Amino acid sequence: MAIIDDEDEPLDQFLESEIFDICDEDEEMVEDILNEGDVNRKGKRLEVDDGNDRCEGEERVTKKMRVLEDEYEDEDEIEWKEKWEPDEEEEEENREAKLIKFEEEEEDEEEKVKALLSSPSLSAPVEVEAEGECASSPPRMSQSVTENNNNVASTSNNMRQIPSRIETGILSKVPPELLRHILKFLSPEDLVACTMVCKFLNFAASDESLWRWL
Amino acid sequence: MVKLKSNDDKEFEVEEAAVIQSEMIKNMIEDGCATSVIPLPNIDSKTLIKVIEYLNKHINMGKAAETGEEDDLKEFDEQFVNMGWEELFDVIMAANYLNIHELMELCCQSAADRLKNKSVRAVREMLKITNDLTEEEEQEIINDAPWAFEGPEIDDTVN
Repeated sequence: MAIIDDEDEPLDQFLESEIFDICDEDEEMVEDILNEGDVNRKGKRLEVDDGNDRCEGEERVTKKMRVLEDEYEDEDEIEWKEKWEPDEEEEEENREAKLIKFEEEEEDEEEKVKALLSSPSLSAPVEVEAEGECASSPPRMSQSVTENNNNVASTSNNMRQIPSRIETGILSKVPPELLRHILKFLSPEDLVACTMVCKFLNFAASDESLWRWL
Repeated sequence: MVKLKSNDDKEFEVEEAAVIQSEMIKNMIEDGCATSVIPLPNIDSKTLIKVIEYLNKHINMGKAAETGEEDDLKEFDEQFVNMGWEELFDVIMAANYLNIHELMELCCQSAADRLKNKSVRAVREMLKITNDLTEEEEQEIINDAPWAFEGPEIDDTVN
């Protein structure tokens, strides 16, 4: 079934009241919501995801990732930094709860990012902090793992939420932003294999900047 | 000589010419921030020894071409990255922290080489990652890019 590019209908208000009832609606209704999701996908990723996941899982995972990336197409660096910010999950929840206010929030976020960017010492301290956390303070590390687990549990109703880092195995102590330095050497086949390893690598290996020059 | 101190309180003396391959330490020295000992709270001694080994070997990298030592250096690099996954990631994190670009690239390339042509199962096993994708999500990925799973050269071995 095709996602219809129905760009004309402004359905934002309609959306607010309907979007939470997707599961209970009949198929026709679901289809409407799906279309709305498509119309508003730029600004409201989560709705699109929810809609598709709950319907027939039509939109493919990587495609959704692309949608996310499209929002920040020209801001790769910002995108990576931004997504690792610890309060991202909270913001995601806000988005879910306040769909109509989403676009305003996004503007705020962009302002925040710009403010961050203007700080000359952006990248180094962020990375140092992340390393400090995993290299020298095991208690905090285990705490963050617990938080992640809670996060996964609490988001069972939202499959699209991405863990802030890999929770198991060797990569759990590696700052996520470093993964791109490794993934950039991989071929398309290997990148696709990585997207199937786990949710987080699915997100990391789908990053547009890795695919752009291939 | 510059003294570096690991997070387990071991000190290492390194030639300045070697240590300034680290942009971070180079900047510290140039800014006059490098006191008698530079503490590196993110790096343990085992990893720091590896990093210093690399720095010492690459100290005359510019001259290597003239003196015909390029092959020697290449051989050293190949040997150098011959380490376990965890150790490799420790060095990657240290290289990132110290901002040693060449070392970072060398180790990340090595990590990528190890993932090359590996099956999904092999990658999970090598990195000890638990799969948290649903069967439906996996199927979507396969449907989306079947070409990535059809190669005859896909390697399911773990090393």
